[in-house]
Amino acid sequence: MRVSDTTAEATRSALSQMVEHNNSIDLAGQTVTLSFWIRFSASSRPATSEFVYQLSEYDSIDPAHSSTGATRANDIVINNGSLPTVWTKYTHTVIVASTMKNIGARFLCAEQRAASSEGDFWYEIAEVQLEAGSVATPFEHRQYGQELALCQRYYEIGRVYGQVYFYNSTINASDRFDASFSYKATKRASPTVVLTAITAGTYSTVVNTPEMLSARRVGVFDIATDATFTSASEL
Amino acid sequence: MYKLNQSNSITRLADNASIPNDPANTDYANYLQWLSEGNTPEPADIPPEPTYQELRASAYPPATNYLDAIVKGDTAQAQAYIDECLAVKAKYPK
Repeated sequence: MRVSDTTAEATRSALSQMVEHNNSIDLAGQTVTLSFWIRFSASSRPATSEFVYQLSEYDSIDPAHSSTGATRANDIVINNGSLPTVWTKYTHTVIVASTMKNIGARFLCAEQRAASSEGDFWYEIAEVQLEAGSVATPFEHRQYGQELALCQRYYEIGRVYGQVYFYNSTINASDRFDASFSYKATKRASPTVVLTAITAGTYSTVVNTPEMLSARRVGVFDIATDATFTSASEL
Repeated sequence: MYKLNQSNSITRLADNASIPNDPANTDYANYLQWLSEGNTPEPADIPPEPTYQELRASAYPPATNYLDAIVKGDTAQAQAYIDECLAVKAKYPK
């Protein structure tokens, strides 16, 4: 993943990924190792602040505001002037607090560009891995299908195909779809749902108040066209 | 900005997202945070009053009562069905 800034001034960029509580809790009190590959567009940035990576520990379950409430005693700095311009692997081993409920990784570039007159500065991160133990093992490459199924626990897009009730011999604006659908993967929590009508104009009505919102399925009522949906239960 | 719904969800007006009443949902947690800052959501739409047709349809006796009366030749049962229908019509006039 490349993080690039070509327009703004004094911008701060942060990449963070929290691990769901169910997958974090077994690491409480344990030794864990974060590993990743990174490279920068230049060894020195115009701005003087360093690049920081850290393991974040949260003492609450799946906190909504991941940027706050975390203990960040594990900051590691890659000094300005020593930023690698070729892919370089970093590892970081810590003992996690026994009270930890969630763990995550965070990469912070406090001031990516100090002024718009500066050229683009970017960095790329790949193969981030957090694992139990003190040894960073080779990155575990999953098959596409496995990765997709795991992602669908948190986010899914799809299309609503309804059953049309024809009140008249031809379709008109008063005709409505009622539909419900089960997700391909049970979500972490009841997801936020957004419906978007596929067609425009007369038949574009979408009453965007689905019911039966749950981690497994949702009901969509009283829409006048097929629609796409997104269901999100990300951390 | 948010709006309450009749169902167990709220709508985030910026993108018309339906957010379930689930504290584990990050968007709902953000909504609770928004509420704690002293904000107030828009009220839910008031559902329209049912029409007289809808009221009647829900109150009519089962049509099978009338058919059963015809099959059995029970004029009293048939008349009772008609009377019940007329009573519903009187209760919910046009």
